Amino acid sequence: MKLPEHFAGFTRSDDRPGIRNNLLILSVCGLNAPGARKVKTALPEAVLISTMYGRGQVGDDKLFHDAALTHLACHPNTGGVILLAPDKAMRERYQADIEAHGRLCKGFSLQESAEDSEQLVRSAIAAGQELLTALKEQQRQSCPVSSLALAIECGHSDASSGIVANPLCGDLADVLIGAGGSVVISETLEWTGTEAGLYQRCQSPQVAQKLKQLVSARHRIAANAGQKIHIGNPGPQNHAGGITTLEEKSHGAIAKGGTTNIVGALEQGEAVPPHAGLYLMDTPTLSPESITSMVAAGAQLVIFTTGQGNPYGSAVAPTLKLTANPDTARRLPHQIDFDASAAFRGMRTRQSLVPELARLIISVCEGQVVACEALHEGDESISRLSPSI
Amino acid sequence: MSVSATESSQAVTALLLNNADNVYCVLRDHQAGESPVLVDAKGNICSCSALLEPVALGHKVARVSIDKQAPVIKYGAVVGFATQAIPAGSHVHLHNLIGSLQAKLAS
Repeated sequence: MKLPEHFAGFTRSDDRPGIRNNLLILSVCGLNAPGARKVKTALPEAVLISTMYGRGQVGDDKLFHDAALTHLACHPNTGGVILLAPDKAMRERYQADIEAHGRLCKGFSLQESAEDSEQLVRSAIAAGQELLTALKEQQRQSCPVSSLALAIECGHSDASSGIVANPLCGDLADVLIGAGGSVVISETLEWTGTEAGLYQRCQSPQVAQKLKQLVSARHRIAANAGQKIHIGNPGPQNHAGGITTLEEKSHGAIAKGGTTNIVGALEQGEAVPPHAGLYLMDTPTLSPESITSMVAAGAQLVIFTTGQGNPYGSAVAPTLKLTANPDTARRLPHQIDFDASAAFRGMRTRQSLVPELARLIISVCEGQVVACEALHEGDESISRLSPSI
Repeated sequence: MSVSATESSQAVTALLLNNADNVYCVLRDHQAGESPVLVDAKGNICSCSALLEPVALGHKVARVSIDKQAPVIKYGAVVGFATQAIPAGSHVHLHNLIGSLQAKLAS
């Protein structure tokens, strides 16, 4: 199985190409959030990222929050930005970063709108309509498949996830990496019990050392909170589905990363380097935080495997839903983009599904709308690392 | 010579996730005495012995006999150790398999 060498995407002067040319409505402070929702309602084609915070954050939490917003605003899939800020200084700071990355940007602040959110909203909607027209004039061009970074996530898993859905994604990961692309998986605590094997798969002692540090730090957070992740895990539902041990459950989760060497260990949100291979990113376990971290790191596309169904996706990166559970595929055809249940029912081999999945991935990269986009179920969730003052 | 499962008209009823594994998973409920149609990690049909007991969808079966305290291998990795001798064709679950993390907690 080989991928085509090129796909039609949006070239970016400074980065990986985009698979979308989104207009992003970016609200960088909770004070702008209600206005940002009004702008989004008036511009349904746009995507919305709206933080509830933005002032009074300190230390690593502030750095992480602001960097995540900037990276999402300058993401390969973002073509232009309507920026909403509380004051002129914050507006100027974000706008300078966004324009430096070659993205179209119109910025507005409450301070520069006489503290009148209604006035700001009217101006932002008018500017948004202009940007949408400009973005539609930009054409897709031939881009190398090797410039794709794919994030793979699993959520609301069941027996079908570990046996078929995640290994199928692993097959695809191997194919994409073979074509020069990058793959990133995350959710540190879901690797529990597989770490020794992961360290052995690292391409260098330096990568293994960094991975060890990230894993230890995440486990310390759990231990300091009194969480004993080995106790009662796997739970009764896992046991009923046939999973016996925690390391077995974890191997079912990391199967989605495929079988190649690990070329990098990334901190939460750290940019995926422009080199082929499999990356492991340290993140919390909640899918919205985990997916946003990988998308902020540059992933243009997400595959989200689910056993029982899961509506969530990224606002910025098309999030393709894959299930191998026949009931879920039947029950949620409007949510599921790829039905792998034939392999779980024994009617097809998993291997025979890989070319179909690969074709769908390329189509989505070239503009085919995934369920999550059609249903407007995309969002971004930026982790808080410490309290505000 | 191996038979590719895609060329076979038989529905596959069990999966080997990695060819190094000593357990496989069944894709539907099986009765005692049934012989699953097992496909290996390359997509080829391979032989396995009849089940010694009923095994439910998603659960594991010993592909070969596993000695007491020997590793149980799935995904090509050790996922725990046999707490008793497990004959080929037996259900492998909580009654005869313990994870190394659990074993550490118990000791």
